[in-house]
Amino acid sequence: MSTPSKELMRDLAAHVDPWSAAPFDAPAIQTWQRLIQQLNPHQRLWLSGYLAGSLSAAGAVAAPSAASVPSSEPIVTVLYGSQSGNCERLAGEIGAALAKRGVPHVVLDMLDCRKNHLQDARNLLVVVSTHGEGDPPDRAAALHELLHSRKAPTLKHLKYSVLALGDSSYERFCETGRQFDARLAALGAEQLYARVDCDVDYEQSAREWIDAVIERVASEHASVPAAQLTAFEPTLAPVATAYTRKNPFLAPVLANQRLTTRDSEKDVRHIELSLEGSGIHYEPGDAIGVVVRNSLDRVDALLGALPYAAETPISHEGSLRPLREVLQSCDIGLVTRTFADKYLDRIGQADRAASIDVSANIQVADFLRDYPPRDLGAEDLVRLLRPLAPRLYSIASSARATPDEVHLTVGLVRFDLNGVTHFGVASKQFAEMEGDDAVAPIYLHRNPNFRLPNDPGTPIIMIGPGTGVAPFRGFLAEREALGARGKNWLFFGERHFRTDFLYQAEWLDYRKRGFLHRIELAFSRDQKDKVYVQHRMREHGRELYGWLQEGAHVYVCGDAQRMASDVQEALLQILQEHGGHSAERAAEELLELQRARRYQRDVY
Amino acid sequence: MTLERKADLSRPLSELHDNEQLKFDSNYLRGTIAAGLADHATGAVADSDTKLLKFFGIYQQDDRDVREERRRAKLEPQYQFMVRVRLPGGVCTPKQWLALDAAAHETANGSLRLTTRQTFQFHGVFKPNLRRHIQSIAACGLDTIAACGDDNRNVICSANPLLSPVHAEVTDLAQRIGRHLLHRTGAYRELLLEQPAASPPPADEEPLYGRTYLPRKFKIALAVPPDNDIDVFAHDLGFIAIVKEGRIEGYNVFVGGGMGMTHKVPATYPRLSDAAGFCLPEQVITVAEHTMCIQRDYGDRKDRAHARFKYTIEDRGVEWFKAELAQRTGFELQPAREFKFESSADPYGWYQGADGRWHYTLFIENGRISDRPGYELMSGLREIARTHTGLFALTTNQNITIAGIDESDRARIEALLRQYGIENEISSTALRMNSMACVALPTCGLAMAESERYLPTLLAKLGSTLEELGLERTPITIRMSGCPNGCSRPYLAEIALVGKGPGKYNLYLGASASGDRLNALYLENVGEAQILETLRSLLARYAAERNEQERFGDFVIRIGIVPAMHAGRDFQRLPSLAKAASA
Repeated sequence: MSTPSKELMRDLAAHVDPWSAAPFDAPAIQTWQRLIQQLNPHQRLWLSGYLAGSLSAAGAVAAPSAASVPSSEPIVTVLYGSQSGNCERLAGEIGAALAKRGVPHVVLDMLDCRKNHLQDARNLLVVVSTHGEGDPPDRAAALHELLHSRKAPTLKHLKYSVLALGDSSYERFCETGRQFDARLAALGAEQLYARVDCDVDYEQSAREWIDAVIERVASEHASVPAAQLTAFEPTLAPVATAYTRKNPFLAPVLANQRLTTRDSEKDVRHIELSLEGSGIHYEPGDAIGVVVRNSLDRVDALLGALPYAAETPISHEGSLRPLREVLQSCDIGLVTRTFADKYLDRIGQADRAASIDVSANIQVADFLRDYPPRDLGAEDLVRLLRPLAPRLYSIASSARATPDEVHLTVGLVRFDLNGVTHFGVASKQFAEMEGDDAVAPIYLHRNPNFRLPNDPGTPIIMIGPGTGVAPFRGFLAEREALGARGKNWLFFGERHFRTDFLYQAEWLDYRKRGFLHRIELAFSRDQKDKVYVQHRMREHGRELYGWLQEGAHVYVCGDAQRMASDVQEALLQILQEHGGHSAERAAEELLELQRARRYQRDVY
Repeated sequence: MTLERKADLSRPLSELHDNEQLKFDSNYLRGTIAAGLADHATGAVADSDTKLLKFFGIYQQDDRDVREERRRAKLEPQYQFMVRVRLPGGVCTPKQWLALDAAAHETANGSLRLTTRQTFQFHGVFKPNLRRHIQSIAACGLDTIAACGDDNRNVICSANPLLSPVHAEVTDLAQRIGRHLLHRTGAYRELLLEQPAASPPPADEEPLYGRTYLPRKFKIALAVPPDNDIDVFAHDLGFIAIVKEGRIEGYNVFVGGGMGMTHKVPATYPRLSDAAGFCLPEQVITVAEHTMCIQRDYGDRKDRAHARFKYTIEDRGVEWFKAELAQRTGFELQPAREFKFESSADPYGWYQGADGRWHYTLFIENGRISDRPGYELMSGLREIARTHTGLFALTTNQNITIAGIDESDRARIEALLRQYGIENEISSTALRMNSMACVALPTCGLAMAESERYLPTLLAKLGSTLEELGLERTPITIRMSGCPNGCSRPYLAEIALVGKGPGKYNLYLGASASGDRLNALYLENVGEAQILETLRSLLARYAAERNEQERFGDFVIRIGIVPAMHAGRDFQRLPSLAKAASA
């Protein structure tokens, strides 16, 4: 995301008449000017944010390095590897903070980072997340591989620091960040500031790291002025995205419809939310964050295992609130490694930590029953718990087709543990969103790396098994609303045709109306041998390659653990088999497609 | 007889019903069936292909119980296919029984349905299984050709060929007629059996039918008096065997019967066939072929509600038909001969045939063969089929005769029937044993009300009344149909309930027990409470006031409850007496 530097703003201001370069004819310019004059500063700000948002959403910033424009030789290179957009947003914030301090810098997506970028860099700030079982984000994979290969450059000239994002409920917490840290050091770079590992509630620790590294850079570069106020405060979050996880929009639930049949093994919901009055403007490909809270039943079950009164006052986010309420927003599901270690340490049983196997899915309540908190205070215990992370859902609608609404496709998580049926926290919340007064606490989460092609004539191939099909419902609705004539090809898979064919009637309608040109289906359990989308891709490899030759964009959404890599494997095979490429060349081709924003993934 | 040919084969296609153009353009029923079967995104085939597949006994349906649920879930209806076997004469071997039973479990919904046309129906065949299903039927020597569609349907005859040499001869004749009138397009073999197309392709694939086949379905039935189990007057063409001293002298020919009608459209009606004459056994196939061809040429191809042969006969008269037939065959029919029917019911339980072998006719409620706790019908019949050396004969009352059991084997079969709890119940009322219902909901697209799933409940509610009145052993025919098209031949029942809407039926009374008089409308659009109240009071009067041997259907006419209905054209024209009385 672009952050205009002070210099750039000054340059712009120096223009005698900015409208002389505007792509409008004279009457249109007059209309615009008249309209703009009527706006108050607040309205101007909102509109600028809205336009910037829709611009990036439309993929207009597809040029390499969707980065700030360095006014002179950059002192700092902010390098991010983002999957869901959090790292990208943090990188943008770092850029803004650097701009505020007048530090020449560049913000660079790892996908676009080549060897020479590293060789030219002086101070490298790495922001990177970890996915699945310790994997780098998609767009970081190529750089990660380069650094770990024999082609890696020597980096003796470089100073760096790493901000690692992760989820401590996974075994290999912040693994990618650790690897970058270790590898940069191994290549000769000098640590500017110690790596910080952030859990799902990353905001506070991230901010501290940002402040610290900027201070460190500033102190090492005398030319950098001390913190100063600028005339123009760049606003990262325009009003359009003013709702956040801390301050969500309470969206009225318009529909909560089960998409799978009663006898399906799965319960997938189609959720329609009203955005009326929220000022939220999304683009197909964006996600909606849903703030989740534990049910009181669940909290009470935990309280039953604890020696504290439910009403015990706890200092929480600046005010005193009852323990029972505070626990609603804490992660009280499964015990994480971090929690187990810290907690046992606090109750003086650190020696027991080695015997705790967190991969055995231990419920926090059971754990605390086994290891009572003794004289540990309620507030101290709460400090050890992670806040409940919001859930992100790919948007399944197009604002053009259904204004003031946003649709989500939500798979409810239900599992049996020791004979008891548990709901996922978010699942329970969605299952209960019924009735006229139901609301969902939401905020917009932009995903500029998952965007329809600019050219409405470009063919697209959409691979979205399971709830991964959600954004493609939005894509097709958008393309139809725009009258886009590009061909559309959908690959969908689930367990059973009869019970789990999400949005079947709509796909058939799109096909009938000529907006869905091909649909390939893989229902894994309708026959003896399991069939998945990647099998269908290979079966139609020749045609798929033909579409790529026509310039098609490929989108993959859904499960990151297995599907995404199986699909990627299939793509590589198709490039080899039908493009006549070697395995190595096919991998380069795919990377090229990725850099050209023609291969985009939204996997989780 | 010169009637203008306004809507028949002599008119250009553009003046006729859309289906005529569809058939003409279908390349002898191929249409786009192949593409439809290959489309995995939908459980359906193209609308036009649903019409063509009927000619192969395949009927696209959907589970109406879940239609609304699926619509809300953004899923298409739960499309599935009903598959009907062609079984002329209603006879199959134990080996075929086992093959059909296996197919029901492997590629259909696990049950078998016996129909009023003496054959098997499968429900719940999903598209990906359709070819395999048809091919497993073919593997046991049967097919599904012309079990639906605008063609000659399954030829039915009085059940059980093993009863006497006469029955064997009639069954054989039914099978020969069926074979002779079968359409011959290669589409079935190519598209469903996946066999190679004939090479070179025949110059004329359908010498008998032509490109547009028949205006509508055509039904043939053969009866052996005194049994009229097949309701011979309810078919387009009926043959009644005239037997003298154990030898078939020939057949009376009846034309223009049929059941279907549309509620509130008086121009549509059930009709009993008219006697056209008598022919010799060796003339039957010629008469059948030319009768069908007369209907092919003169039947209404514009209005499908007026396209059955019964309307051609009604409009042009039986004399016209006789002349037209004689012109085509080169011989005139002889005058019809004397015959006498006694009953249209099945003979339940054990009886002995001419050769001394035994037969057991098993009551099957509404023809549905499946298992339920304590009544393992499907398993029991499968077990019997494993060792049975005779035949299975399907009756047009949706029952089954286990035919040709040696004296020495009878005890074993009896033991099996008992073991699986499927013997005819002694406690069952005669009303239930003489009941019949069509499939209706949830699979039939035409159904307006429940039928198969509901009739047993209604009969159970009448059970105590019958007992109190001492009528539990008195045979009374009762038939229910979910719509007025009449698959269960309701208009020939002493009591009939024909669906009008959910939970609502028209009540008809007064058909004869032997199938030679229609019933008449008594109450319109009534629910269960009123049906029960009405029947209870009429049955009470019947118990108290009937003459000796008087059937319920005759009684209600004698006491003036309904008029005697002899002509179909009056069926929807005569006002209901009950309605008139209450008005």
